[in-house]
Amino acid sequence: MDHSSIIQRILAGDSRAYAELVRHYQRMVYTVCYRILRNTEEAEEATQDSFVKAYQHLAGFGGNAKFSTWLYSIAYRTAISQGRKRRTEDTSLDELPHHPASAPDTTGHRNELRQLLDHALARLDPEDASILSFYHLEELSVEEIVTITGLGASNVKVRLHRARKKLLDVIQATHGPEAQRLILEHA
Amino acid sequence: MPDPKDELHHLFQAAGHTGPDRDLTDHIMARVAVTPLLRPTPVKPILGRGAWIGIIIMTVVVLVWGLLGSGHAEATGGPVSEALRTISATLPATGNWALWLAGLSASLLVLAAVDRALARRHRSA
Repeated sequence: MDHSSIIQRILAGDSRAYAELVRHYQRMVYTVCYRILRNTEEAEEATQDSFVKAYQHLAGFGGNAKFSTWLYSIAYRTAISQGRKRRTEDTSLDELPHHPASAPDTTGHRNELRQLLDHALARLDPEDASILSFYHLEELSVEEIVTITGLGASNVKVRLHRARKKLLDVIQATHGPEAQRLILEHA
Repeated sequence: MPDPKDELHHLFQAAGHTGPDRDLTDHIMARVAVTPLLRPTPVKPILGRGAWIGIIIMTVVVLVWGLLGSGHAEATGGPVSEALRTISATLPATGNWALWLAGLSASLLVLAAVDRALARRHRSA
């Protein structure tokens, strides 16, 4: 996808061209928001807010970083800020909603894996869960995660290491050999 | 980059993204339609390079005039002369005034550099 030509069109006044970027990135942005907020409605709201903010400030996107990194950084900050606002409500882990399978390409098996991962990630600190997602799902480098989160490189590495260990422990404790079977079946 | 053979990495890749329940494009585009694009406004330094050079030259001229011309100033006796006499008296009589001037000029140059750096940072934000 040629982002620069789409951005040029938008900046020239063709705001409808933005729909192409929205379609391409909404699942990625939603995943970032959902990892932090763990609530489908709030994640949808944060996704919409992130895209509107990104549109507003598109002229300020200098092209020094990748567009996706820039967009993820807006989504990350929007979700963190939204999460802080609602922190007054004390949601226990048992009350966390399970995300329904909805994507058209979602198979039963993939859905099972996603539920397993969602459930395990819900036991982690939201910021750690999103850092793990950036690293393992989006396959971003530590430097890119530093740009998105504003954390130091050593802090990101420590969080990654700690979160990986905790996630594996949680998966082992809650699913045991079942998790191993699910992952291997998909391989 | 993560190791593709890593078990956890494989799990993330296999599970994929958690998509929203519905396509959000229409909702986002409806909001975008009423949202203006913000254009970054160019920021100029408070004082331009010329103004800073002018200030430095003026300061140096005033100080040199005050030091070298203090004898004439005593004769005229006006408020400016009085001020210059005070400056002259404050500076050491051993000829170290050149160091003071160099220090003052350096300080002004540092201030100019800070001013420009702040303006550049503001522009790139």
